[in-house]
Amino acid sequence: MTIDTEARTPTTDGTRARTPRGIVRSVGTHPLVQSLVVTVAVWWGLSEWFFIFLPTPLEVGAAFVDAVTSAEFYADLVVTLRRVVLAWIGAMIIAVVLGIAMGRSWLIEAIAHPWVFVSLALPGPLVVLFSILALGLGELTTMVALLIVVTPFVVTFVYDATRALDSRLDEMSIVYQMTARDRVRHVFLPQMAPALMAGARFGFAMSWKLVVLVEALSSNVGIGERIQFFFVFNDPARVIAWTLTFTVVMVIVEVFGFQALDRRLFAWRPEAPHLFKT
Amino acid sequence: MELETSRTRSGADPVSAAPFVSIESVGFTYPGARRPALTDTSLGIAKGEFACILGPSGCGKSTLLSILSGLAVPDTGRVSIDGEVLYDQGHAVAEHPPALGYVFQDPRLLPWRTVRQNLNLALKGAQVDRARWDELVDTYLGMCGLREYADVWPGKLSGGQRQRVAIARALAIEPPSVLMDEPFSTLDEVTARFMRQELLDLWEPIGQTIVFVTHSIREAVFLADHVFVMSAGPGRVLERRAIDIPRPRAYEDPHLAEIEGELVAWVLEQWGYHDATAGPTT
Repeated sequence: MTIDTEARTPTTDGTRARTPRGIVRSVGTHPLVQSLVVTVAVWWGLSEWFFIFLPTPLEVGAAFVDAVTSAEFYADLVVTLRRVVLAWIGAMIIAVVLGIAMGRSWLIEAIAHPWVFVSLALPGPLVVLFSILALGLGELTTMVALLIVVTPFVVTFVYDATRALDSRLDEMSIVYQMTARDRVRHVFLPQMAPALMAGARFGFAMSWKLVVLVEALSSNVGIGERIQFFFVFNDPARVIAWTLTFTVVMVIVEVFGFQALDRRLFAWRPEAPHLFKT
Repeated sequence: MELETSRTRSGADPVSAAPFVSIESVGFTYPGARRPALTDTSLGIAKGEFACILGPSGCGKSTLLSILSGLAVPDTGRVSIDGEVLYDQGHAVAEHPPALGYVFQDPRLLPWRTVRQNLNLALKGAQVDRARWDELVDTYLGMCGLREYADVWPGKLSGGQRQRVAIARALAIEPPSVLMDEPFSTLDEVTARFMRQELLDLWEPIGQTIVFVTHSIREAVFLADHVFVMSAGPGRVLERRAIDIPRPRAYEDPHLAEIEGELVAWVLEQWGYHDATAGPTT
């Protein structure tokens, strides 16, 4: 595909572009920029000629600017973000404790494994509806529903990693008489780190996916509630714009949170070889 | 001769007096296993001695090291190091077992800690004064030819370099005894030869007591003051053989090859490969 082959192509004289025109050209050859341009073009074409209901990128852009310049948006964002973060932290704590316990104790594994397995398959909307029936409308309902859906997935990440621990490093740490604290810090946690990172990322994204549903069904404030509101009033441009706002938040969390942490935690890893050289 | 000096250091012949590392009538069966790994195993190693334990695969020689290092508790018998009883009749006795250096078959470094941090963790475990860490790490890495790699991730090193770091870690804590479990068996032959020579060069001035497990007869004869030959499993010690070749030794020394040949013939019979030595008539 042209997008890939053109990526990272140096300028013709072999040096990096430094002139303004060169910078524009090098941004233009970046695969992310190219894929964005293609996506927007395809979207535009579809909304112009095929799907009448689909708003054009321009309409969505206008709605987006409208949203992020209103005070109301930030109030909703704070509420939704708080729900996502609280549910995510709760799920991580439960998952780490339960996942490690399951990996280390056959009794806890025997008791918890079927429940975790079954709850993996519980449909999200069903959990939301039953939470509302049981607990009524309110913050507690949101919390419980999110925890029930998100936690089992993160538990599975942690549980699998705990079972795959390297017993040879364990032996080494015993032979060299490391303290329990050092064994946790230098032997156990670094081995768990990839699974914890994957679980954290997955859990955060999952919480967001579900919070929209919970807010749409049960709340009178939050981004999900707004999306539901615009949907009811048949304003697809705003539905997409408000969804995009949180997507932007997710990208910020990913780049400045998870990726920064990644670089710190996994600096020791030798660079993985690229399977396909371009 | 190094052998003589080590004996003088210990003050007596290891067999007649209490040896530095002592294993008496030890038996061990892995949980759930039907056959014991070790039965009635006894050996004594003098202070400052380089002892090799030689045996076929699965004879329990690695189990012996596990017992010495505290990874396994023997079912019967008595184990002591430097006069401190570790195990007596199936019970762990020592409250604070002595710090030991251990070189495994694979380096077993923590890949997410630098070479220096790996050594520091071992020093901390051995309760070495923190003020001495830098000096010890630099000294022993230097002896292993790796001083400039102190702040590198282990993943950046070659297999041989990683194993040298593992050796530096075992020596840096300056333990009374260093256990080595076929440390060169995963390296290529040229690197392994180089490392054996290096190990002797490192050991000769320090004179720590080394218990070295191997299945290579040539390696055992080249390295050891005494070779303890084990039976094919379940393991016990068949014989303690002194290797009276003066140091420094050369791997290609014909005298060494001669002793190796004798030992191979004897060992083949003991380990039950009668057909291999009997020749074409049978």
